[in-house]
Amino acid sequence: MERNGHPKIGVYVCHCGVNIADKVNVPDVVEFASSLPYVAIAREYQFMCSDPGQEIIEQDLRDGLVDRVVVAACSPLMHEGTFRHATEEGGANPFLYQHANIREHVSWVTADGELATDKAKSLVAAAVRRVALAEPLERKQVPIDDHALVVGGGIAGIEAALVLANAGRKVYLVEREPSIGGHMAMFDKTFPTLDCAACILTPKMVQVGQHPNIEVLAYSEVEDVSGYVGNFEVRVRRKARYINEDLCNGCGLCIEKCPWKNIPSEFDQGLGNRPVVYMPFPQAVPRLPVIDREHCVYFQNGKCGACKKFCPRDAIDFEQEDKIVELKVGAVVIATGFKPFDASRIPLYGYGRFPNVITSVEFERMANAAGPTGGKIVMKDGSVPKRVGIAHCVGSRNQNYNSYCSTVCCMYSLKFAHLVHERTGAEVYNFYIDMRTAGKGYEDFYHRLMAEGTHFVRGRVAEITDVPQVPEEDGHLVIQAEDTLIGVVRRIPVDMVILSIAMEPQADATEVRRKFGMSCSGDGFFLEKHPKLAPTATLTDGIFIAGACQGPKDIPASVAQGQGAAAQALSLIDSGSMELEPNTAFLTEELCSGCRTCVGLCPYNALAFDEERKVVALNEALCKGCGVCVAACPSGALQQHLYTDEQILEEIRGVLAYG
Amino acid sequence: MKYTYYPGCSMEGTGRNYGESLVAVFKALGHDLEPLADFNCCGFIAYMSIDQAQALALAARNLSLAEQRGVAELVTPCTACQVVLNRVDDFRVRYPQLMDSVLSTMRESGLDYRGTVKIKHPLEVLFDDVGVDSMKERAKGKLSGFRVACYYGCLYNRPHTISEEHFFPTKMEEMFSGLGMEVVDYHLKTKCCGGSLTNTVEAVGLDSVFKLLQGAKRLGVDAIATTCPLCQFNLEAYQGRISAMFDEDVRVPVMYFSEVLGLEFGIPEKELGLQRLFAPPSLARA
Repeated sequence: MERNGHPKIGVYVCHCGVNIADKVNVPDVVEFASSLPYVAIAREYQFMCSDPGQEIIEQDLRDGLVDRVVVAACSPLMHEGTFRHATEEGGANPFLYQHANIREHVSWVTADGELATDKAKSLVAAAVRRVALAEPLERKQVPIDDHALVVGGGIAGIEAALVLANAGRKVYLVEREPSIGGHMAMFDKTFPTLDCAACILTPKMVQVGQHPNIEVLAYSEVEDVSGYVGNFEVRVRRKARYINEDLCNGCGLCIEKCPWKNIPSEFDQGLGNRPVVYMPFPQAVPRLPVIDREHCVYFQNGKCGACKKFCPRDAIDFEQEDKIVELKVGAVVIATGFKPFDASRIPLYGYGRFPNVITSVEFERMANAAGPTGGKIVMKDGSVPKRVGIAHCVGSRNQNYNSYCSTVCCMYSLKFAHLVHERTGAEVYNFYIDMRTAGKGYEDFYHRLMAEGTHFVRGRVAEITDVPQVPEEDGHLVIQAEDTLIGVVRRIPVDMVILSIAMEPQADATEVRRKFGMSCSGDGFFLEKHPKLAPTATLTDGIFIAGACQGPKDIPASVAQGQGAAAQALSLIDSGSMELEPNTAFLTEELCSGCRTCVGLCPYNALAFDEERKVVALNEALCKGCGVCVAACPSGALQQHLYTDEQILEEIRGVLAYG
Repeated sequence: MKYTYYPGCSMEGTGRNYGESLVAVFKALGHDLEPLADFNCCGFIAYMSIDQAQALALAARNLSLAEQRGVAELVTPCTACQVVLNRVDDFRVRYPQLMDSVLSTMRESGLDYRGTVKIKHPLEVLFDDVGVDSMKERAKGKLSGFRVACYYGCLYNRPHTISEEHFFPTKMEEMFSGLGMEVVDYHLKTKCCGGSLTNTVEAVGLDSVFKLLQGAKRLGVDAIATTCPLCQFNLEAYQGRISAMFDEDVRVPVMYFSEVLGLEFGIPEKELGLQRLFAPPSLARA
């Protein structure tokens, strides 16, 4: 303490209306505070956070009565920033300030008034001792790169990219499939308005493709990420298409001439075929084909090469290899979407055994006019079903698979019921646990379907079987479920069953999470910073999330998140530079023995060993102030600003010395 | 290798041929299968609902004996016994207080159980440890083309764990088809056999059995293969009555999976206890 001469500390105790003053005897605490060493002034006020409250502090500083400040009030999460600012306004360094939490930690949780007052006193004593040792610190400014990266080219990623690009920012849009569009590009109609998915999506895709500020890196994946908020360095693997992008004009002649046309189409869920040289769908962006190396005869025995012979622009390049490109960006929006649940994991539903048990994604392709059946809803033998069952919650709301609700299945199941009814006239049976139609216009859609004559059976499907029990069931699939509204087990014979499968995290979500330093919630989706107030931010600054990678959601919600995440990214990169909290580690080189314990522990690669000088070197720009190295350093060479050993020890002494 | 098995009450009663055929099959594959000496009742499923502590004590005593003798895997042919014995470890985790009191009572009589014994169904031992490949070496091709429905009943693979296979086990199918038999797609394989309802609420119990028999009969099988003594008994014992009741001939041979294996290995029918079946399968077609 001698180091700081004779500090003059001001202690300000807040009543917080009745929140603190009802339990804590504030005048008593003030009187106690005045008796502490180095305390020049102790005052109380109704609301310290109000303008007059702050003015008291500023005036005392300006008058030279005090040179360091302690405020005993609410949680520092609420108002530490406020009072640091007031300290600065009064002319002192903002870090000569210490906050004591006597609301969340005392008055709200301590029933006895006397005990609460004692506890408040001890916290004030601790803060006083600590602030006496505080050092003036400077906030560091770091520049921010104004480029942005969007990972995932589904509807959420497309929206995010467009918002950023329209604001004049350069955007890299990385998509692992050959075309952007995501799951939405596969869909037929969208609920509840029944407008066609392609009609509203493809204009957006074209905008992305043509936008001067967007660079689409399709058929590419993020390899690794380094750096920190405002200054990320990202390496992207551009997978070989075996097509020279600069020469190809997307005429499609190679696709037409490829003699091998019987590869199950991934985009059509295996219901239709595609050639070895293909574009996933006609409106693909970028309009570039890709050669499926695994099935290409040329890659197997060097023969064929039909595409190369016919290409008018000599764009086929069998020698092409994967390429790594390096990007520098200030912010990242992750919109990697979801994976549809694998229905064969529920054997009792017979997916994979019964040809006419299909998944919702397969149905979307079947209902799509550009799909494998040209929009006809038919069974595997080509005939039209007379009775169709739709099973909700397949893999959702089920302790054995996913306990969460996938939120979209009720609505798309209703949409399916409408489409089946409209196009085939079949009787439709929806089996549901609860009807969840929360959303604008959704409940109206449910009522419309009831009016259309869809049958609703309230009960999870127990089993789908082809073993008949009565003659009427012969030759049909039978859906068995407990109808919980009338309390009986029902067996309903149908011709076709659509399984409304859950939305799951992408198979490589954990890997992506690790690359970008994010967390996952228990169900495996990326974790937002705050479930209510920061739904598109993550715990890593500068990394934002949008769409179904954060949890199951429908198109409107994904779009809203895509736009929201882009706005957040924009407000970050538009600020040009940012201030870092000066709570970084600092090194006293003379004390470092070169043991390197800290080097391996640092999660941010801020520590390296200097081989020449045999001591560690600390990159303060990379340091996030987590304190791991400080705790581990056996010689005390590493200390942390705002949290030095002597500051913490003095604070503890303050708590212990009282009472 | 030497295996120890837990016979329970059925291997010496209605399921005698199950025990006999298992011992014979293990022997044919070069393994010894010996009964756990001084065993007692497993604790029985229904007893659990009357007195949990006593039922668990019965189960735990068997495991304690096995542990004392250094048995790491206790082969348990009866799936009902398997469920009850498995509950000891299950309850240890979920209801530690209850298990603690059971074990402390046991300790007073000089018995303890540390939880080192794993309960294994003989089908798992044969499939996972012995392996289909080494069974193929022993196979004689006697049942090539034998049409068989694999029936596991409701208790095999339970109590439910994280396993996603509990509704759809496939080990028996893989084993039999690996040995050249014709395995039919029998979706009813984990449906209830009626359990003790065949005695208590006959209408429900016999209806369950009827559905199972009808499903197999319509697939034209030579036999149903089972893994559980109660299933075997229920499926076999009421066939005449059920056929009359439902006015449909659902008579079909019902064997233990080990008997099917034994026939394939060419083990004499008597050693497999086949004479104890009500309706031994006709091998004429095989």
